[in-house]
Amino acid sequence: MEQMPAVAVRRLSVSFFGRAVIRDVELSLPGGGISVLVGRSGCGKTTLLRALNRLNGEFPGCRTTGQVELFLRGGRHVVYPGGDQPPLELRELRRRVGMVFQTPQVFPTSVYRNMALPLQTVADCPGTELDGRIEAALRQVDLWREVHDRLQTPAERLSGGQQQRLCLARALTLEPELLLLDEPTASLDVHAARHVEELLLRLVEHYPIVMVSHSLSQSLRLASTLLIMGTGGTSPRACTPEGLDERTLEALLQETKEDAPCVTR
Amino acid sequence: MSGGGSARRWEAGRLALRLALFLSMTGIALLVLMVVAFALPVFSAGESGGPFSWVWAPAQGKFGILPMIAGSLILGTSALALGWPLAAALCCWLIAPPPSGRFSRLSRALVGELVRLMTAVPTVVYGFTAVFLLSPFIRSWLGGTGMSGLTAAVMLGVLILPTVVLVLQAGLGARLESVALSGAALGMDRMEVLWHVVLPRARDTLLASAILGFGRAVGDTMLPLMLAGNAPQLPASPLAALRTLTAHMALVTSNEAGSAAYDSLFMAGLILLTVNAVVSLCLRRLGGRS
Amino acid sequence: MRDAGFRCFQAAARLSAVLVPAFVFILLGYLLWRGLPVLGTKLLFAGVPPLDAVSGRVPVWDGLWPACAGTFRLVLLTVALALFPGVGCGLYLAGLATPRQKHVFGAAVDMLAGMPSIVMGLFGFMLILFLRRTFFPGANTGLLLAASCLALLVLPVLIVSTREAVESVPETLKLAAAALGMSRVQTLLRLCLPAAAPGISGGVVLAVGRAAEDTAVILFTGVVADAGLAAGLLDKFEALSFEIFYISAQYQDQEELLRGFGAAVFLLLVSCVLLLAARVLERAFHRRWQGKR
Repeated sequence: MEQMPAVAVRRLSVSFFGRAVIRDVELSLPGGGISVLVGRSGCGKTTLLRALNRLNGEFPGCRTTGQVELFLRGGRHVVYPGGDQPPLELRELRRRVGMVFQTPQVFPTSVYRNMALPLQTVADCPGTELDGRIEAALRQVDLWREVHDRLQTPAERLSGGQQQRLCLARALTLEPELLLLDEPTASLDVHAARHVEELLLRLVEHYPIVMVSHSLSQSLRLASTLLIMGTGGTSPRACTPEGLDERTLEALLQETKEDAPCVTR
Repeated sequence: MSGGGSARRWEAGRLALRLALFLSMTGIALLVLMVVAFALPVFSAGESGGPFSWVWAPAQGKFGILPMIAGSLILGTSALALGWPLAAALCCWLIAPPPSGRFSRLSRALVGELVRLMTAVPTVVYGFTAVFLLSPFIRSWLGGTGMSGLTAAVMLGVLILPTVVLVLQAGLGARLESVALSGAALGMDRMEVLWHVVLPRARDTLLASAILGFGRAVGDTMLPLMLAGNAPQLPASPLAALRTLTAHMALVTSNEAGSAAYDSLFMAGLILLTVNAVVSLCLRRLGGRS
Repeated sequence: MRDAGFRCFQAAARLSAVLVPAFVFILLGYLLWRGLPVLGTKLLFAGVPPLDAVSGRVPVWDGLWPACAGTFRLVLLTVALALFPGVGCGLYLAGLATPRQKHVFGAAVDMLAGMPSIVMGLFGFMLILFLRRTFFPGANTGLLLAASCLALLVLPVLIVSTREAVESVPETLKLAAAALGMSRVQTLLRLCLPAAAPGISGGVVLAVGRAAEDTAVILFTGVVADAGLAAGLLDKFEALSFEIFYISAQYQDQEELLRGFGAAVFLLLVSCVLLLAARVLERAFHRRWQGKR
């Protein structure tokens, strides 16, 4: 496994309207494999994940201090401290860092438009390449076979699992160099969730993945690095999943429970 | 990086939205400025027979609009007195059906639709119908010419009714929903919950609906113009004719030309503008608090 | 619990439920009773062959056609003038404005929304007086001026409905767009605008209704009873709502009176159809976002 880190976080604190959600987080994530963030709800996993592509800035009252650096194919990128970066930089950052949410966020248009919209607006993809890139991304997530004959139907008609894979494909068309997944299988049934898990294990060959998961068994199945976050948004503890089972992991989670009050958002 | 072209294109989108905002706000600003600018010189003129006197007699050089201000106030208040209680009662009836009964649900759905449809009836259609139905009715049963403050007030009451009902429904309905279940657990039906729990705490909503209704009644032109008789006087009884500011403005432009008559027009415009600004300010206060 | 106050309240509620529908039914029933039988091509064209009348070859003097055509043009021009500023301003307020801008501009729009329509008419009248005194001594009221003032009248309808429609696009969807790297303007124009289109078109239909029914504005800005088909943007024009008002005050004979009833019924039906259309559009829009529950 590569030793070069993909993400380096130093003394990162994020607060909303003065209420700290994570404080002084130190973190280093490897440049390959799946890093899984686990922890109790409200401990700041999502906020930490969203700090990596500056998505917290979309919410009012957000203040971020500390440093976040990404080491991607193009070299070193400073995410924080950012100040008021020009929008193009933000766009480039988000293009290189793909994200998938807990519930499938398909746009209320056709399957095809869902894929084409980010390609046109973010990647400035010429019209002639559009079809090819869309097909490639849909093949990557095993969706091409299922939807190739109904690309013009509304994306909302797809099943939950298909929708989530569409969202994954939508992120992949932009040729990201890091994938952030926020509980990507939480809203799916077991079968669809398994399918997505298999996909992730395949995709990790090409992209480093950071994901948040609520399911301990899933974390153990997927993780090459486990990050256990304590309550109160303090630095997560890294460990390898080897030799762990669900019960010991649960015990580890209990251990990290500190006196600090749990911050919910 | 890639995409300089598209970034510029979207910058153009942002500019277009800015332009739209600018156009809209310029329209509003121009409206207010124009009305104020035309009305202000009237204040400084200050001669007798100016707008702030009680006699309107253009032939004798008297251009007082105080009777019209009084007319607007009287008509607005009486329309509110007629329409608001009815609207409030109707709204309560609509949002608090008895626990069971297909008929009661159906009748409420129908009346609710009717109220919503009432918002679409053009005022000039109300006016036209009232001229040929309500006005003869009042003439034969109560006397007078039929073109009176009462006629206009009744129709204005009908005009503001759906607005008031809908505002109350939005405000009271949500609050009733939140407590209806716990009320039901205590053995109260929805009407009782409404009367004992919701209404006593809903002063702001009730007030807001009344202010809104008053604003609409004072601002309407066609009903007073067609029904109130338009005599520039202080009405001695509900059956006497009166003239409102709005009707006065319409009459001046069609009949009189001359700077003194126009002065009264501008002054009336400024007063209406001010009343409306105060009304919307009050509504914002009330809305912000609740 | 059952005190006298409550019993009065209950009785009042029941009474109002009978009184209000009864009164409205009597009013509108009377109108329909007198007006419905008159509806027909004769009411519109008064015996002139419809094709000739519509093309303007033969003037229609005793029919409603010129007034209908005038209202149609007026409404079309109004919407054409108000659409861009209204929808654009709504989009800006929903997606780009800072909280402070939202507060200030929102208050201005609220104020405009409650403004009596006659004030807009007065504004147009003042505009003409102003132009006569300064740049164009020949300026006069006409179709374009009336449409501009009506545009100001329907502007808040468009702004508010656009703003509400865009704001009801789920926040999570906007976040997903941001996570893909789309800028705010891109999200607004490429995602929210198409998604909110049914809601916005509902607002447009409502605006059409407001423009078609209003009488006070055009009273100041160039409506007349006998313009025929207006030739140009600066000419005087006829309008349906004014025709109704005019007939109620000036009718000469029974036939003209019946024409007034016909016109009133016609305008009422048009308004109701527009309202229903707006509601259907809006309901379809809401079902899209909330129907999944």
